Amino acid sequence: MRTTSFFLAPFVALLGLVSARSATGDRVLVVLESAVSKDDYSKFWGSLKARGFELTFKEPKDKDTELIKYGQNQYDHLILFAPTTKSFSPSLSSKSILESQFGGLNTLYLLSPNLTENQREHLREYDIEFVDPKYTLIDSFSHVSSASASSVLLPSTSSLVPNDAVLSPSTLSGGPIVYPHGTVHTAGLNPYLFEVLHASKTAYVGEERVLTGDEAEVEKTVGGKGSKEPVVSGKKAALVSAFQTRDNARAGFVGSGEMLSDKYWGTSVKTLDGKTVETGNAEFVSDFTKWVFQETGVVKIVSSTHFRAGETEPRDLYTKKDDITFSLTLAQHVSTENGTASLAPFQVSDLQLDFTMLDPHIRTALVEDINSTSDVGTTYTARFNAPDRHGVFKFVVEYWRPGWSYIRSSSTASVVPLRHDQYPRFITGAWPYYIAAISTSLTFLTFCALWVSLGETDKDRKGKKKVE
Amino acid sequence: MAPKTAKSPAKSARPPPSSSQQSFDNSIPTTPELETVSPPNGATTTTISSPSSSGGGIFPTFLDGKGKRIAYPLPSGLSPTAINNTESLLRFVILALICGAAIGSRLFAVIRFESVIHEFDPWFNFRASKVLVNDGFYEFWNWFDPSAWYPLGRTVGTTLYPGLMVTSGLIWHALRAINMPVDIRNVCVMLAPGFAGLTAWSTYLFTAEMSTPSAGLLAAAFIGIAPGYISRSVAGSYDNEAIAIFILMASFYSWIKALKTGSSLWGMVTALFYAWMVAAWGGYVFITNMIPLHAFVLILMGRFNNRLYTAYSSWYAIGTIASMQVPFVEFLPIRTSEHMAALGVFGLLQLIAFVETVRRLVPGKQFQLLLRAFVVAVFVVSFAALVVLTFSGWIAPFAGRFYSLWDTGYAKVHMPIIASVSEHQPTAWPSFYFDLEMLIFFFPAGVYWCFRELRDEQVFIIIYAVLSAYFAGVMVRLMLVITPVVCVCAAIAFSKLLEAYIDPSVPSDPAEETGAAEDQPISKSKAKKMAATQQSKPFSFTGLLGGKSTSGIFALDTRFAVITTLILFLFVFVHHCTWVTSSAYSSPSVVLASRNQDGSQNIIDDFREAYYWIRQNTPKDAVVMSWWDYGYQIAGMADRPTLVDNNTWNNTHIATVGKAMSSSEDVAYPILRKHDVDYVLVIFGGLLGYSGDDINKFLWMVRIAQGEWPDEVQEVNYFTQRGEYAVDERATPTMKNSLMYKMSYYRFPELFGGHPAQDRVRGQTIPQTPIVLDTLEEAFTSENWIVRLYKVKKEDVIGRDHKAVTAWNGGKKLGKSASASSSAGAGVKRGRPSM
Repeated sequence: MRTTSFFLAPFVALLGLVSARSATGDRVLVVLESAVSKDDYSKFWGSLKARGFELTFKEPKDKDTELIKYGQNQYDHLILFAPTTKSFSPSLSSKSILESQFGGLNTLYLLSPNLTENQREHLREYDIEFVDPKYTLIDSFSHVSSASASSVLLPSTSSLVPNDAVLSPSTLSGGPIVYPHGTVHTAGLNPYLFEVLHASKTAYVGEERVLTGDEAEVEKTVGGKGSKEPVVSGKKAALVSAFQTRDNARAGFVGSGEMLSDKYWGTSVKTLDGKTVETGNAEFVSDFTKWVFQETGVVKIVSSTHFRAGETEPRDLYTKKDDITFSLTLAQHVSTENGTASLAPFQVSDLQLDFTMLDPHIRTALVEDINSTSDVGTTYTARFNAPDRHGVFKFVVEYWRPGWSYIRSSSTASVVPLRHDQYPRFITGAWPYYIAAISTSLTFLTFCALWVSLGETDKDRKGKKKVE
Repeated sequence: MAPKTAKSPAKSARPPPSSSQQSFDNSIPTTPELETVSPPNGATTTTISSPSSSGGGIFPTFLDGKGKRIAYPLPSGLSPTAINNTESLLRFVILALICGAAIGSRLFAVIRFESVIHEFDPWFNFRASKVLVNDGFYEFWNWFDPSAWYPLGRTVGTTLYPGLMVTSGLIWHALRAINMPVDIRNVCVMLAPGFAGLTAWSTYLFTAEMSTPSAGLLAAAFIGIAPGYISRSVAGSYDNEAIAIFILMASFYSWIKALKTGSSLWGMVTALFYAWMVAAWGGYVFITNMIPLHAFVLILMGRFNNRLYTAYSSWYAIGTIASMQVPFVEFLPIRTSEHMAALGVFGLLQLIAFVETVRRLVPGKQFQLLLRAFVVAVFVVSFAALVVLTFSGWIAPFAGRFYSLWDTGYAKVHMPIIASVSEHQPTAWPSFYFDLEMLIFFFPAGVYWCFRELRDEQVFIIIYAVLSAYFAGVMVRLMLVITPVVCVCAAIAFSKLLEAYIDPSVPSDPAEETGAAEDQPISKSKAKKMAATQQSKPFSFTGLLGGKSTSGIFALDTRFAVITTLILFLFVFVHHCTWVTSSAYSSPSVVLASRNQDGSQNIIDDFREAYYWIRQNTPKDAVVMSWWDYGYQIAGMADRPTLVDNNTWNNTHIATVGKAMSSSEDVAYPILRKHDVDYVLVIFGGLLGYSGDDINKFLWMVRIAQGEWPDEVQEVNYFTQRGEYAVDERATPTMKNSLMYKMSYYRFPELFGGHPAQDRVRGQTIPQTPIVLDTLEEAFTSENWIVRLYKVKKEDVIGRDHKAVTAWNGGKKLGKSASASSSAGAGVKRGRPSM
């Protein structure tokens, strides 16, 4: 944990090998329940294959599915599209999925309103709570004109949560996103969780059926059970959320699996106004799956080092007040058009370094060092004087932004007092003491000289007296 | 007052010069006592017993060469030179044998177990010695240990007394220089016994200055095997005290020597020993205050003279400068209250010397009065200045440990950390007898004899006896300081008794008997009486008793009875010392031994097993948290960073550990994470009945933590309603939820397979309810469960709290996500966990 090499090692090792776009690998396990027709989503599968992923399709109850074998993850990514399945094979149980995620598995959950209780429980572990079954997101003012009010049409500008790491600018300003027959969740306080897509102002959660206009009935269909629970509506209704574990494994939760269907993939739909607009689903889903499968938003620490002014190698011991330079090279994972991946500079302006012993003793900005920045990474440096306090200090860089890989670097070095021979020998302020010492010595010598030069008889007499 | 001993030569253990010639004559025949004293050897006994068998009330008397009557025949025709030579040879041989015995009796631990460093502090000293030997002196001096007091670190080189390591380092180098490459560990293990031999030698010299060489030999024998000293100096007990007692006795000896001779050379020798002491042991302040106090008392007794002036001034000037060279001490000698007495007496001596000189030159009564007033005024003014400086903060007030010497309740209230150390507890009465056996009864008699001959050096003994008796009563640890003076005093008393009963001379004429009987028994007192005016009647007690019979104590049967009893005492003493040493003080405490039912020995090696496990199975930088007692051992044997250790310099840090141990997991976990703790180590004796475990120390952790956080940790909460300290069902919720309790008893009842889980230390039954640890997982438990090691879990990978993880692992489902349903997504995110 304390060395950056821990984070670096796997990445560096992969650098030369991986030609796919994902930073972690391209083995994808797709678990499809029988209720879902694989062919309805052919465009989505196609897009994944085009991005270099190897898809393996399995049924939820396939016995031969193995996420982990001999302690190793067998797949890099998992698409779980089985919202109504009540029981999975043991290797796809909640426990083993979590375990694989601890080992780095990225998961895309494609859900629907008929989510089973088992899966709700599983998702609660991520601090996500779904509305009751049978409730869907409804928007009477904005939906696909040819379908019911539950095929909500979400304007991309107001419904998407802008996030550089996850969504590309074109998606953010692209066509509206169709959210057909989708469930709604609320994201808890889990710090690893963040929303990507939420409902628009006019949308609410309710039962989808034809209403007679009876006010009481309308009340009943809206929201939860009577008035016990608050009505989830508008921006509070999260539709797509993302989760990045402490170890940078990722998970995506899409409330409506149908979003990905060929029906809305790169097609045009009619709004209630009668306008024909091109849906943004394809772009949004691509962006989101790219993020979940570690193609975008991945930042790595290429190297970190610290040294004393005039030196180049890191030391275990620094002396108090030493001029220390800390430098950190960060690189961003990027995909090129021809299907390969490479590292590119990662530029931010708010990176900072803590020099910590229990509490940060020094907190300073890490500034981009133009001179040593290369094509494959941006080097940030900070130069500071060690505090006048000895102890075991850590150079800590923590950079947590939603969507981006968590950057954590910690290396240990001790700050020690001056050595016995490093103190100044003569201090001007100490002259009074020097003079005192010298004058005492001289006086003593003079006294001795006088004493010796006194007459013999005198000395004898005194000596005798003393003995008595 | 005219100095009585002004011209007495170095040998003047005997009374004033005027009578010394005569007493010499008398004392020559007494020399055979030497054989009887230490190794009670058969030859003398037979000489006594053969005439005694012949008669009841009337004894045959013999005449010595000069026609005096003596009680038993003595070899005649020996020249004084021959006697002297024999005497010195015997002394040398006896002293050598005593040294051998002193070393030998300390080897139980090595023979029983192995050549291993003992206990706690010695492990640090050993580690420091290794640094010194491997990296050299300057690296040792500048040694910064990042693994101690993590993350504060410790600048070891300037926060320890380097004397011990430097001493053993020098020995190691010396042995290498003569082509004897010895492992530094063996030097460290054998250092204490070696110096115990030297202590016997220096005690001999010291006592010989006080009394007779025969008393010196007795004292050497006593100190050589007295358990009070052995407790700190068995082989492997590589602690500062191991060499400190030798230096203590050596510096006292040279001080007495300096005082007697008035030689500044001896004063300097005292100062050098003092400097060594300062470098070696924090107890040096005892010397720093003993010598000034002695000088001060002598001044008050009107015994100021130039010898005192020379001895003290040379000691103080050189000793202070030398002591300031120790980095850990630096300016303490001029800035702390502990050292002010020495400075004050130094100033006082200068004033008195000045006044004496002026008085000699300028006669006149008014002038003398003026001078006296001047001395008093200066003394008062300087004392006032001292007080002002102390209160203004320039001179540091007494350190906490000092206060606890005056007010025994002080530490418990204000500094639980000091009170928590078992060796800082007040001494229990039995331990005086346990550590000193019969010496403690002879001790007052010896002090009485010092009062009888109140020369300067006897005053020293008296002061030493009084002070150390007080200190030893206050703190168990200071038993060590009283042991030498008890040995010296007991030896004086013992040798006086033996002298009285062995002295062969009897009154020359039965008619004079009553008068002579009073004088005769002790040649010394007789001599003294002749020198001084008749003040009291020495030993009139026995004389009166003797007056009833015709022969009194000159009778051989009386002599035989008393001497046999005394020799029996000596035998019992030796037996007791050997028994105590072997049974109580020779356990290395890192290795325990128990007896099987068939009587064979069973070695319990849990500590080393666990420390070795840590060394082999954890990353090099894994921080281990434990109570501070085990800090040095973890650093020494497991080589891992620790949070706190036996160098208890930072109370807050210790209190932090105490708080973590005594709080619930919710409170403790952030503390553990903040300090990068990877493993937590507890000592648990409940299975084996090892009473020195952490649950028994637990209340001190609570108290120390309470000292820092009175609102969060309260001692009361750990006691039951009825005020009991219980670990069974009656235990309070606070107790049961504390990290220490949980770690100690985690899975303990499972061992008993459904039977009541009996804690063998506290004799209580542990509840069967399984203990759940959320934030820790068991990493290692040693064979006999003495050492239990827990790994601190990291934050959950997907951000759940540890309770939820445990529940989930246990198969429990979440009803509803609390934060998600209530906040409806609009709440403030929980703070992200740190790394």
